[in-house]
Amino acid sequence: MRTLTITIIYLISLNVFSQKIKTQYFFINEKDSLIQKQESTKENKFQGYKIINEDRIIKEYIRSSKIDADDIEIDVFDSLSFTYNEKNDIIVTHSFIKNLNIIRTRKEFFKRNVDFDETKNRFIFIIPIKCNKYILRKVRPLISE
Amino acid sequence: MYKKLVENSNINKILENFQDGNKPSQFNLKFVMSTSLGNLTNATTIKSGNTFIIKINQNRAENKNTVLTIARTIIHEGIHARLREFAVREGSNETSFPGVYDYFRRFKKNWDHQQMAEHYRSTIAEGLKEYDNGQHSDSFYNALAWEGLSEIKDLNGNHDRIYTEAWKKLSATEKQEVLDIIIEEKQNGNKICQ
Repeated sequence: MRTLTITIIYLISLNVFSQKIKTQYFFINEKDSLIQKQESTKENKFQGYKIINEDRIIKEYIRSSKIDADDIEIDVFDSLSFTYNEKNDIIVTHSFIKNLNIIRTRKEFFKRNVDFDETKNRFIFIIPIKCNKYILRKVRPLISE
Repeated sequence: MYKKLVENSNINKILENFQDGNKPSQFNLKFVMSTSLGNLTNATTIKSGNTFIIKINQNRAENKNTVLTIARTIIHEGIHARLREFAVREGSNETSFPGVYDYFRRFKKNWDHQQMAEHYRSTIAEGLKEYDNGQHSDSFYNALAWEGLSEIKDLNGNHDRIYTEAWKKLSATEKQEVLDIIIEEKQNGNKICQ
């Protein structure tokens, strides 16, 4: 009952208190190899996802192992990195997600051309777990400079 | 914006290594607007021969970022260029630039982001404050200085992302305060260059 109450309050808060910001729900297909999860380890506590867009090629610049050498330009697929804190995860049943407007595939994720910054959208990843339940995982996009 | 920035004392200090005064600079600094960077990459600094090229994501600069976050990006990349110039100038070694070589020894290809996160955020914040005529609090400029220096790409290739050592030192509350300020600026900041 307590979990149910917390879940309801959480879902309402996403919609009521941030009318300016839309919530984008993205279903994580763990069989899609272009959705890469980085787990926290002893050496590196970072947790996140890298979502790869194979329809867009960008330039990346590889550093040499020598401090004074030139950088090397390569072509790679564009990707988006997101981070999360699993302490903020919420577990819900199928009945809670069935009426959500969910982006089901990675292709659709990029095709929708959503603004990936936090100014207009909040991102919740949906991860299926056992017994017909799902994790709702709030993620934050990462900007590089 | 660039013209206003170069009148800024902090930026001038960053760029002085590339200026041709009585003694021509060994290196060039070039700014380029790019359409080939990643969707969530504001900019990058590249070394090519004797030129440091700062590539700025044109789409993000024109459509997404605020005036202050663009200024921050330019200062951030300028520091990249300056630090890398220290490392490659004639005669550069562990004695002339001990900090640079220490960070390289410890962090390899991530050396400059780690060094910037630890020692150059105040430079970025002060530069922003001067550019902005101090219209906000110091904590505001300090928070903006964190973007690009908290969760960085691992250029050593061991992971996708790592935390900088400086970011790890913050408490959860401090981190959230920084993130809240950054989001607030992105949502409500001025997008028109004056």
